Amino acid sequence: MTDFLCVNNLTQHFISGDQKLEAYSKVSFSLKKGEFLSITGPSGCGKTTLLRTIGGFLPPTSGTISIAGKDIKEPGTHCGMVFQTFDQLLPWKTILGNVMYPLIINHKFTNRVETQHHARKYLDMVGLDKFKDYYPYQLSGGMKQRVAIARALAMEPSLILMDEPFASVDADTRVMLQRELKSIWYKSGITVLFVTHSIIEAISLSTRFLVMGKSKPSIRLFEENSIHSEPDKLITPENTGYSEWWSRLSHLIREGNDSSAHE
Amino acid sequence: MQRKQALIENEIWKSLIGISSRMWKKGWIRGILYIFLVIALWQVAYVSKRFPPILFPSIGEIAHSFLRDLLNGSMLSRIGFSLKLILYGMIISATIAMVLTLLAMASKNFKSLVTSMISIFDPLPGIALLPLAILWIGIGEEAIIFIMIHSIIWPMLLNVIGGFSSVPAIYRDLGYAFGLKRNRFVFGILIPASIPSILTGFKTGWSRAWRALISAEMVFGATGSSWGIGWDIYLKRSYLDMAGMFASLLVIMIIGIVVENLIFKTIERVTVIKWGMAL
Repeated sequence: MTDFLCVNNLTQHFISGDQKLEAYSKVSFSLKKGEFLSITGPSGCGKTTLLRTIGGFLPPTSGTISIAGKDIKEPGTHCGMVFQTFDQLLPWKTILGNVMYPLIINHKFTNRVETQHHARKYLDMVGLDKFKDYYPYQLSGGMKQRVAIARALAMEPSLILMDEPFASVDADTRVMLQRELKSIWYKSGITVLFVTHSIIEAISLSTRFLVMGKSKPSIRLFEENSIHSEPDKLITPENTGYSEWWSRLSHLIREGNDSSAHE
Repeated sequence: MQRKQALIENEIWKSLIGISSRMWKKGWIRGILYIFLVIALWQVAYVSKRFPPILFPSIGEIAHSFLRDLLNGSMLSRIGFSLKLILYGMIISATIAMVLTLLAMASKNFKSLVTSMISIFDPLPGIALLPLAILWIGIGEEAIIFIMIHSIIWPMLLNVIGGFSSVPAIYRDLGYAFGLKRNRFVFGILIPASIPSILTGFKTGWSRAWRALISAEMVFGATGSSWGIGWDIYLKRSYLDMAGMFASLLVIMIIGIVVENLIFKTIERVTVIKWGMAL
């Protein structure tokens, strides 16, 4: 299978006054279609910046990104994005309106009835169809995140970028959302890039890990998840190899937090 | 028997207190009660004869003038004239404010120019420009509209530019992620996200324009055969028609209350309050 996402020698610098701040440097990796990649690492290692650059929200200082052979220069509908914040729904639109809006403006369907039917299918998938006429402020944080996921999925992009989407929800909701996401990912065959701080979340969900460090080299690990499990279910500590991966990732993240270690 | 009677009376009192307390909690009922209190105090002052009756008319005389002007159509004609001017002023100002805001969003230098202009001109009362308006534009509706535009545009611009500038970055990112560009981005993201500030701008603009209009009308007088409420008050002063003057002042207050409570509150109810975006 040919590579679907190619990140080639990507570097991101920011200039602040006289100082040059390096978010990450010379990041290269590629993914096959349908993979679930968790990007993890210590705070400030550039995970979110990398995700935003891949999404086209930030132009890279150098390097290239291509999705399905097409160079990415700006944000657009080539990939769906789910942000960390709860406030990523448009408050002036209903829940259904939020899911329908990108479909309407991108003319995904020829008429409103079809658009609505499609949007409701995805709302139903995240268990929120009965809240379709609510406004975002009337929903809990977890529900808003589910709507955001439904909205991103409804566009049926081939790639979805998620920036710690479950970071601010309570533990029970988090596990429930992880289960839903894994099942949706399996059913839809979509490629997912998932930024997370949580090692447990990374192991439970992904087919591949990318661990970043604060200093060079920016990529400390890029490897397939070798734990065998049912593909549409969360990987749990009962699965063989879980603890080995946990120790390995946690060691790498601790090591990546030491900014002087590799300089 | 007596005990039963006392119990019934007690229940009636409790019920009456309950009803009064519930009614008191309703803002509009309290408002009406305050109005009746003012009317009663006014009438007491009139009956006491402490002020010359020619300068202090009775409530009955004011009500009579009010009804007379209302029924003979003159009041509606004055209101129509004033509201027509204010509507022109609001539409022209809103259009200019929107164009200037979009230019300010497109260019940092232009934004700095506009914000400097706001700080220079906003503190200048519209009425101070009257002599200039007379010399530049002449006496007429255009001059009144000029004064009103000056009164509306600066607070409106301040709020609209402020609203556009403070649209959360997440909504901008969403707009880009949905593939919105240029005017679709403006109408799809920037304007709806700024509605709370735009509404504040309109409310401030309206109240400033209303004040400016009445003042300007008093100076400019009638244009042709029609005139507005401001000039109407001025004319009634000349004829020492005190009851008529108070009736016109009442009209100004009623219009202010109606616009604030009916129009703006309704717009807020169907937009920012409904969306949970109220400032």
